[in-house]
Amino acid sequence: MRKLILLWALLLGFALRGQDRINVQIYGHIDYELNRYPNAKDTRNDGLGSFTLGEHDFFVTSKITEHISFLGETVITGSKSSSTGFAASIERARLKFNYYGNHSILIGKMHTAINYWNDVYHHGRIFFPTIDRPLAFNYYVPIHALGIRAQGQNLGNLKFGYDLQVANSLESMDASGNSLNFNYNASLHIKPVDGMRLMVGFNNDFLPSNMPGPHAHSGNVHHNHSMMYRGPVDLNQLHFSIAYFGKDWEFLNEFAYVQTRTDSLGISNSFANFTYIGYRLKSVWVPYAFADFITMSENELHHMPVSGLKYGMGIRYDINDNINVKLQYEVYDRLPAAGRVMGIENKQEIKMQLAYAL
Amino acid sequence: MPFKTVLIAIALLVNLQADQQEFSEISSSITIIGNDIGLKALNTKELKSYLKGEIMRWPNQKAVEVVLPSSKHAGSEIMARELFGTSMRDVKRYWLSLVFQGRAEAPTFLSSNQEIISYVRKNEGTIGVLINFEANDLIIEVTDN
Repeated sequence: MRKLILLWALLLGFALRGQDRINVQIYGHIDYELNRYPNAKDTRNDGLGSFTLGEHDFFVTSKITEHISFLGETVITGSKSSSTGFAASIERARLKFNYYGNHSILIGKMHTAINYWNDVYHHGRIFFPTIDRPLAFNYYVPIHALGIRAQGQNLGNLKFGYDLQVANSLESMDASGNSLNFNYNASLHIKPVDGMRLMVGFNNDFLPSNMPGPHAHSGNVHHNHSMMYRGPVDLNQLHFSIAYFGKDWEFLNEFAYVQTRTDSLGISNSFANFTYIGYRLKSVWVPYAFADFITMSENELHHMPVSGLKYGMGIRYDINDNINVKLQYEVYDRLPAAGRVMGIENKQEIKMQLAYAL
Repeated sequence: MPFKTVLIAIALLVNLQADQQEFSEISSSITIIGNDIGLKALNTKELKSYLKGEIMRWPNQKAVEVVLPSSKHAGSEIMARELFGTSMRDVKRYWLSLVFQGRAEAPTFLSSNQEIISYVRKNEGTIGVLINFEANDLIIEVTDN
């Protein structure tokens, strides 16, 4: 932690010395959350809620040469396992070589361009249309990757873009891999009109011992501990995003189909879908609503098999271009689940989030 | 390399009918300047693509760098409305997001026409937007070498 703070102090030092090719920004958020569990016998969590100091994201970009640039994103967030109550992690650190026109090669740790949300919002809460990420982020989405990517963007009249990536497998650790096993990601998108992006992403991984590393970013729920299955898993994901953020209307749909194949139970087919719609009033108010579901097969041996529904509504107020506030009411509910698939616990939440960029 | 500033007297090439609508949205209060960008004229569609960070290289393969009026510039809202079709707040948020995505290099926001001219003059591959610029405010040097 101290080393990271020192590193940032050095980077800021460079910036303050007039290195005008270094750009430093900080993104952060403060939340308030009130939960109620209507079906729980234990009512300890029912109360007046609490405030949370959210992620604080130190973002730096630097143009190193005419063709090479650097982007880094280091996040400090609350951690129960840390003696200080906070832990730091490098979320992105990559070099970009723009070799010709709109075509580039990227190398380092990146956010996987598998769906719109993960490719556009990263850890910047000020950009999120709602307070939380979609449910699929807790279970499926391979958020980070450490590897190499070929990228093209805004090509032709449809503003076609591609991101083709080879990275360490999801079984690897954040800073390095432990085998010659790779994760492959391919995504394509077009922007047919201003504010619209249609995107499809495919991700393939092979997990020899069914042990996900931190790139999935979702901790215990990503891994099916209950079965203790340690055999190989073929993991394939297909994501499809429709995003439109126009002058008045905002719409985002994130669909995910996830297939795992194991020696034990064979093929598992799972799905998730998130839909958001908002309307901008007087340029600064955006009332919105969303619905989100996730459902998994009984054959799932990699992810913890769950099914559930989340829906809610809220309002976002842009105080200016560097700060906004969101107020949101949401409900977690069960979907029909069979066998060993668990239902998400019924919960009602009122949340407030103040998100800023400095 | 000696700098070469070109004042692109926005003789926006109205060569397509589709551009005519966009052309009519840009008033004479906007002037575009560029330094060693390999172009002497742009049509409206191309201009907006460059200003939105959609194109990373000029035809001469110099990296594109965008210089825009900041919120403190008296004409920033005119620029936002006519070139981006929105408010200055949304222009800044748009660029904040684009840079955060890692899909474009950060633009430079400056608070006066003089600062924009000075910056463009010093940096090759830059394109700058001036608002309500009068030629007798500050003469732009045009040299061949």
